[in-house]
Amino acid sequence: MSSIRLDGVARRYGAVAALEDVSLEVAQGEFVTILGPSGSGKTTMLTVVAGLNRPTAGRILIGGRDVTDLPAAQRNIGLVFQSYALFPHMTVADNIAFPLSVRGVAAGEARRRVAEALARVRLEGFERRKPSQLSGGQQQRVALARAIVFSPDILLLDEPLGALDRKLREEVQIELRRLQRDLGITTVLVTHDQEEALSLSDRIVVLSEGRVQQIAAPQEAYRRPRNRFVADFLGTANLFEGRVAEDAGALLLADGTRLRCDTTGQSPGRPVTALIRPECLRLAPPGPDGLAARVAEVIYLGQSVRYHLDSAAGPLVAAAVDRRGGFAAGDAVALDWDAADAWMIPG
Amino acid sequence: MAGRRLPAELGYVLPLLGLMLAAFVLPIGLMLARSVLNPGPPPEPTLEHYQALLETAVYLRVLGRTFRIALVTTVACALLGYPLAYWMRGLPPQRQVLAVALVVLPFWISILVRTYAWIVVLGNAGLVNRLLLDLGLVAAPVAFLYNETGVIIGTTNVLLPFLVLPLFAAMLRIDPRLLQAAESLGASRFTVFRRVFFPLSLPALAAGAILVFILTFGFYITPAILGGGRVPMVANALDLLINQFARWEAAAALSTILLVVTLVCFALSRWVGARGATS
Repeated sequence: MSSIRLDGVARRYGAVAALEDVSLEVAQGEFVTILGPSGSGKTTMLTVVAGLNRPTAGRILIGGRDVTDLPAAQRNIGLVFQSYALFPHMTVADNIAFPLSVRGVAAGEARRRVAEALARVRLEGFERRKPSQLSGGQQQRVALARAIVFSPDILLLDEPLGALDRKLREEVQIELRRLQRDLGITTVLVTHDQEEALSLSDRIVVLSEGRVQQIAAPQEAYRRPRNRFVADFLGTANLFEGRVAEDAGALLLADGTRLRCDTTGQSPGRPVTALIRPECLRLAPPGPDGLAARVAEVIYLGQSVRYHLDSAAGPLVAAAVDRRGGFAAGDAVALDWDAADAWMIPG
Repeated sequence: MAGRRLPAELGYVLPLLGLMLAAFVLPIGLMLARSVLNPGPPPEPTLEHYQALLETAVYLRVLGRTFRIALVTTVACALLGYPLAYWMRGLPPQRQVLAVALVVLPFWISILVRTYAWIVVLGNAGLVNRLLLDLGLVAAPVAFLYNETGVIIGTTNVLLPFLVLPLFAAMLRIDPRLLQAAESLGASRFTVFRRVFFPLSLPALAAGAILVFILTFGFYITPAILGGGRVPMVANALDLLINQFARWEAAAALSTILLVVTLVCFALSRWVGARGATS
């Protein structure tokens, strides 16, 4: 069990920077997710922590110890690859026993710990199978068992659920979270799946083009993004560009439309971008109040309905719980929201 | 439906099938028949040709030598080829292409030319011996040629690509993430090689080795030239039996023994290959 600290870590390939000035602290026992689109440098970040990739600048500390120059084999890190990387020529038991046997753990003790790890991932009785005889979900759990069997200081997961189908993924997410809590192990997960990031982690690190965009708790990053990239990347964003109105409490769009906003701390006249999440927009029959809009399309999603709207402020998306008496395409509506739900993006 | 279409499709295969039957299956059948028939008339089944072969020390020696040379060549190719393939795997892609080209290059040069070149290199007044003499490492020229050593150097030279190319291809297919995973799990570089890389490359090494072993059986030019007639292998013995003594029955029996051994080795290689595919 250890903390992780990255100090100004960079990884360049020639002129291309895969990672640029990344600093991050992960507390002991914390579950942190690195979230970003493909090519954002998130896997590079993980391999740098694991020691499979050397940073070109910066330091990496694990449990307060500088491990920047330490080879991967000596870092005592459990790593689960996206492809699982199970040894195809070994049985499940031999795969899981591998980190124990290279550490010189006696055979009897190793057997006991392999059985314990298999029980943790609920794969008892699979000892003698070969990886090729397992389903994707089972392989994933073997990889996880192999990564925790030697009580590593930290656990690193590279898109571990990417290859699983949706229902299985949700199951494994819950299991993963339970396992992480039980073990109390510091965990860093890499994913491009924002739902996974939001549901699993204590904090998320949003990465783009090798740079950290925001480090925050999931709710904070979703509701109060630090810049446009984070606002756009997480969920759906209704963005409004304008200026802070002179008489406060509103944002003035270019065409003169006034949007109700919490402008505390903003100087009048300053150009800003405001974010309103789809579920914060309320639809009402047209009236004197609110922003006038027309329903362009209604998308039914089961538990919720998405409305694509045309308004003076441009195309918008609203989400509502499905109830009788909803709106249909072509309906004129008025949009309303709480001032506190309109977030001024600082960056 | 498939059955009705078959004759039409068979038409495309027929010319090749005819050629194979006339030029390959029929001669082999005749050879097999000759090895178990008395040259009549009328022809009668007999095993006396095999009996004669097995009772004649010189044929047993030739068979034994052929096996020994094949075995040593196989081991030499494996010992030289594995490190070469491993080294090639670590090269950047452009250099890999270059290395493969260098490995394949000898295929474009006549085996006769290559074999004679060894005489220039290994002869008593050849490059190697002169170097050894000049350096004072040996007092008299080392006899590389006209013995088994010379033949083995020649066969190894010819057959090395047959082991290196498939082995290199198999090594490229080994997922580097498996090696990274092993490393991250605490294994030293050597342990990663011993417990992950080598076992994964072993089926290809075994298949390549069996291929080299089989191919060595058929060598004729190399033992004829580099052995100087003193190291006859099976093919050279067949040449003598047919062209000098016109003993077709003995030649047929010897060929049949060679064929059976080759088929057994081939079956073995298929079995190894199948095992490699499932693991």
